[in-house]
Amino acid sequence: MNQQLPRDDELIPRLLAHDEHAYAQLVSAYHGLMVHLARAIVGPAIADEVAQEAWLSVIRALPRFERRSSLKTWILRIVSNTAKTRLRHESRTVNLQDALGDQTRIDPGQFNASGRWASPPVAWHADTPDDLLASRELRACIDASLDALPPMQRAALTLRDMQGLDMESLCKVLEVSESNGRVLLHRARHRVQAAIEAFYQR
Amino acid sequence: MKMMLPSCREITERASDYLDQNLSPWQRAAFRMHLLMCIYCRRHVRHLDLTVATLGRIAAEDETPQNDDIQQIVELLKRQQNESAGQKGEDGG
Ligand SMILES: [Zn+2]
Repeated sequence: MNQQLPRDDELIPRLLAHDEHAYAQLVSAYHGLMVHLARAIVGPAIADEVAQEAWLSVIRALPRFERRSSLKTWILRIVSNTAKTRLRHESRTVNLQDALGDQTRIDPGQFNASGRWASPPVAWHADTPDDLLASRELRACIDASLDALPPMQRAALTLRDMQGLDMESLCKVLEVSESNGRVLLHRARHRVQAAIEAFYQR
Repeated sequence: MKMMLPSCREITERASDYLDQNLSPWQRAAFRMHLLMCIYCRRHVRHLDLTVATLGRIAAEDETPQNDDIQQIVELLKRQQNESAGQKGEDGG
């Protein structure tokens, strides 16, 4: 199932012609990513459902796809919007301002009045991701920090650092400006880093 | 002309953009100058870099979809397509 996905301009006509093999290739290439993004925004319980709903929208809307972005970016934007709509229906919010205004920065007590470190970072005794992930306890801390992120921050982190999207695609998918996209990413990364730091400070 | 170097606090605020190569050449030069002189900020930036790499590793171990899931979605899409084709057929007939 894991052959390389054809280029958009080869794949799209085949999808529009309802080529079942093309469907399978597309689903195989993007379904995992879609579930991952959906989970970042709505949580694990209904992520699969949101991804399915998004797939139906993708196939319905495909004849109107204007190719101003890659197919992948366009599909992920549909997932993001489906997930946000779902949250609103459940009267939960995906408030961008909440995620941007989140003041849980690095603890201001870490710096003195002139902006120098007052409580400097401790050594982590880890040089690689494998070193860090070798500790189950630390892994649990990282997972907890991810769970605690505001949805839009978690979505930004998922797309950029976990799924390797470039910044421009990230902003298109989440429908945020480039500077807001960067702020979301910055905050999210720092929260995870702070969780690891707290683990080593104990 | 004396270049104003960023403080440690400012380094932490720009570290994410530094790693993503989103700083202007001037900001980048000042950032690196600070790192040369400050062991703690070097450590902070290294840790952020490691954090980002670790997130990538976590994603890689995350689920790739099962063939069953893929087949289920493909069936769903085919069904939707047949339904809409069926509707068109009825309209025509
Ligand atoms: Zn410093």
